[in-house]
Amino acid sequence: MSGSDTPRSRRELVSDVLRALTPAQERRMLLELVKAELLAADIYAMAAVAEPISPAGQNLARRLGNQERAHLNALAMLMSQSFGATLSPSQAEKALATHGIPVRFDELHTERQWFTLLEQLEGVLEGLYFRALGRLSDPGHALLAARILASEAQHSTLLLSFRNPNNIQLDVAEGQIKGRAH
Amino acid sequence: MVTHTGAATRRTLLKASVAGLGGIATAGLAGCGSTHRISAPPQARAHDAELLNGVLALEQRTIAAYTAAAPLLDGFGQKMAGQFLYQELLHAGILRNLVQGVGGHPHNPLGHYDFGHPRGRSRLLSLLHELEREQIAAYLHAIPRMSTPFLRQTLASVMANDAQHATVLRAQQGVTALSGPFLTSRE
Repeated sequence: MSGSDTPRSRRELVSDVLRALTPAQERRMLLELVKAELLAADIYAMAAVAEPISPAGQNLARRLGNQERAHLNALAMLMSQSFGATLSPSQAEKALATHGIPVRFDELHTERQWFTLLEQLEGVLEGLYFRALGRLSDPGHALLAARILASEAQHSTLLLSFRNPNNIQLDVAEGQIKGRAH
Repeated sequence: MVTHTGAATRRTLLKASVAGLGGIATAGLAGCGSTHRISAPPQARAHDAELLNGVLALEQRTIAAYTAAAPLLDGFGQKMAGQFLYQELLHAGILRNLVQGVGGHPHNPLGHYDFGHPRGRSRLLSLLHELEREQIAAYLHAIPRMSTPFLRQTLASVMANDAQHATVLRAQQGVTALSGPFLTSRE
């Protein structure tokens, strides 16, 4: 360590204040994650029984969906609140559109189309957790978000490697996981 | 599968002085991105630097391991090791910049790492997996102790990539690729 005590600039001080979340803002940020996990759990539940998807693909979707449900439960416990409503397909389509994923479920006719949707969904989840980590003030909340971000990154790798086995440049493409929050 | 490199050669590679490697890890991708000046109190920055350097030292050790292991693997294993090596170099560069950003001096790689005598593909994969696990444990320890959200966010984004490495290494060893829903150091 240099031990230098460089005074912070006014810009940095203002930035600190703007970035620090109040408890209410922190809660709203967690709620945004909850909504995304609810959506993800629902989409995976649909994928797990979608006819175009092979039994192996359905099994993977079921297992990843269970993990999204576990993420949801952990966030709900953190907020001392329960969330459980299931979205209708049209509600899910609208929710996906707000995340920049335009999709109509009745137009998903192949496993490839379904997996593309799941990969996009994981990208959104990664982006939301990454963005939240840049603002969450509570270290405990941040640690949970970090552990879930890593889990979502693993999901992305598993989904990609299911479709593209042995293509490591595609399956683990990025050295830093920032996702794609809309 | 391990290429038919003689045991002595393998040993030599794995016990070899990784002189030159230090240069890669030090310079390598260290220039990627500009140094982000971290605004935090001096005491917190000193603590940040200590933790960041601890993680950096592990990344440097893993870089040495992938460098030594890649030629001993073949096919997919070699491609995997190459890809992961590139990403670990990126991680080391990011961490060096963070250490500098909090006013610290980045840890330099050792000139020599002793990884024992792993024989065969499975032992090599097991070694790489163990190193990734140790990195993940260090990140999980450091993240909640960082003084700013920016530092937590950056470490988490790097750790998530190491978690992907662990997933692939698990699958390559015939272990279920999908672990629990929350990343742990037991990946």
